[in-house]
Amino acid sequence: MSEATGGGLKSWLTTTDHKRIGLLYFWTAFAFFLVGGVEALVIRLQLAHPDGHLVGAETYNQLFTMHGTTMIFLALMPLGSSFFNYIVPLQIGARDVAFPRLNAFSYWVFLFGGLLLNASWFAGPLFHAGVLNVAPDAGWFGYANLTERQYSPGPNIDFWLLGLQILGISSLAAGFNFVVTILNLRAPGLKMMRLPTFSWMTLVTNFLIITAFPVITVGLLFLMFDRFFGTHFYVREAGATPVLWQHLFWLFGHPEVYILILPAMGIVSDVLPTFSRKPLFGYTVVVYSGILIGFMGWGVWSHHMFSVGLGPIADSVFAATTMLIAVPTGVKIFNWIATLWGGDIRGTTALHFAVGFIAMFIIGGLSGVSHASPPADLQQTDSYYVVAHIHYVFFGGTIFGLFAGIYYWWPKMTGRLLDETLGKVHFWLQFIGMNLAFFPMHFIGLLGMPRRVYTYSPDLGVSDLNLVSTIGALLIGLSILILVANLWRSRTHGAPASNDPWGGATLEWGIPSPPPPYNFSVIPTVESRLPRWRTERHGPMKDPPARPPAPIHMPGGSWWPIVAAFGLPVMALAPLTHTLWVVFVGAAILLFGIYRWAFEPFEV
Amino acid sequence: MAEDGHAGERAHPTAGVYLRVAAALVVLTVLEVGVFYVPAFHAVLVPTLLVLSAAKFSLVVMFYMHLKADSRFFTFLFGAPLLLATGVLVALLLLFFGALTLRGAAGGG
Repeated sequence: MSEATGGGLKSWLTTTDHKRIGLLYFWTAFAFFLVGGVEALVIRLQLAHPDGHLVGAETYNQLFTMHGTTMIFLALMPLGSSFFNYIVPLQIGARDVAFPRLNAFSYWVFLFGGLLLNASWFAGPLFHAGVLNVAPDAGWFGYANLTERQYSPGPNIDFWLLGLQILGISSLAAGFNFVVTILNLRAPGLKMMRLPTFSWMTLVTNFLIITAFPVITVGLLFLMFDRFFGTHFYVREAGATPVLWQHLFWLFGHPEVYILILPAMGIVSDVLPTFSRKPLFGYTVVVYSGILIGFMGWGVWSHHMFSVGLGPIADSVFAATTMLIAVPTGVKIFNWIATLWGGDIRGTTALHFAVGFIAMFIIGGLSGVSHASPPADLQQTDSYYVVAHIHYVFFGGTIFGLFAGIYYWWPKMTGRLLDETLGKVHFWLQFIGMNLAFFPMHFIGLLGMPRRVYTYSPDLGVSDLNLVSTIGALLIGLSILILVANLWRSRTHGAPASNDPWGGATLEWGIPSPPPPYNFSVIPTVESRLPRWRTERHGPMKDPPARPPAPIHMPGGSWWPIVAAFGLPVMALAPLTHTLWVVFVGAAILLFGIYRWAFEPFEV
Repeated sequence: MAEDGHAGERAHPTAGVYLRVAAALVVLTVLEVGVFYVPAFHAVLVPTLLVLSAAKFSLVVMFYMHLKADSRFFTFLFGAPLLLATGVLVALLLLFFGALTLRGAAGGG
């Protein structure tokens, strides 16, 4: 067994075990989730009353930019990745992912990219900025030409574009890893249409990642050249147009929405059958709907740009495609409800969050359909109505789905059950809090309050609604503290989890909690879509023996992924500080890490 | 997809095949540069370059990316997003140059 399976800091720094990397992703993403949450609370406290003066306009710009960027790229995506890492190899009967060191590299690049991005909160003195905070300030979608050097001369946007470029490398590396893992490392008999739905959605999500991230990479590269090398990709005065950025960003940005929601849909599709004691209704249709969403997600990007004035034909086409994409989503919702119908329902916290996901996501989906109508969208664009919509999708949808996953798989990941009473208190506080926080935003927006403005006049008539929204946000904050307490408490007070505390149908429930380094003492042979349940034609499969019948060799840990990953933020310091030689130092570290990685006797 | 969960694989080409493909890529690159200097091609320069680069692209994905030797499933996994990307690019070009808009159709750009 490798050094990576022991204790101590070194074993974590060098680990290539998918389970440990999954936990690293979880804790890092959760920490960033708390950071993004604090940013949100400051925003809401600023807006609790009209003419608020908790923060100034510039700090407010940084807060909403970093809140969006952090939640999307540093919290929700990597929280999904923590489950890809920990759960997918267990669901497909594999000992690890296809490329364990690339997996470690993905994590370390993510961590360094996230730290670089957040270093901007404190890096002002290094740039003689006269202020502490030089965080990005042009919104999470960084519209040109706000991001051009002419309008944003400080290092703020540099942090954003370099941080996102680094995070993109992490996402792409992980994306290829999971696609190859799911296609090639499935246990004998685990045909594609026997894959658990979460693993299927992981596959679709990672396809979207490896196809969508190159688009934003190109967009950011153009921006980098504009800012550092004097090109004019988005400069109108030079004959270019900032609308190119909008096209490139939303070509990435809309698939990104599905990158964030499909894993949650996968989790819910696994949680509902377990706690209804029924197979997923219409498994095949749910899987094909997920694939269809993946494809159709590429044909709707300009609905983010109706206010640009693309013309009635383009507007009509994108309105139609946007309404069409609601069809496979609606199909999934009906299948989830049909799964619950007539089931032997157990009201666990995981099920609460899964059902909460369905309810909240329906609201977010319906407000999304209202954006699909260009005339309606023109009234809603840049107002709080859009903020309400995005939060019903990402908070009511993605977060509720991910939290269902936490309560469902935490016993498998740690060997300890979370407290169900605390879990339900968490759920109800979060459920009430989010509806108080985000539902009034529909009205606030339609009454005329624009988003991304640091304060508002009492004459606008939205003061009371804003106060309600802030109270809701504080309730959400309280609910998250309860989750933190529950996670912490489970370390010592959580009831020990058996192999299968829920009676699950998929392979991960047939092995110990937490699983041994090799996962399966014997790689299982799968004969059914629900291998651990009795079906019409198959009895439940026999779980692998507690001890492996023969020694199992697992690869050791490696320093080189973290070394190679460290080269990237060093390279990013060169353009940030306008110091050429630093880029060569970073490149040397990266290449040295890759070289040693390539010639490392990893299997020994 | 194979029953055991692994995609079927066919025999991989030999080093000689890879070298011949490399030679073909060199020849195609020389042609790409060469046609630029032949006045007869100027009228059809863009389609000629597109055809030549498509041929190079095909050789690279078939041989160096192993699609020819791997399961047809991988060809599908590569080809479907490629078709999608082509469609998206065409739509983007049409949108970007205003051809899909009424203004564009009227010739006003």
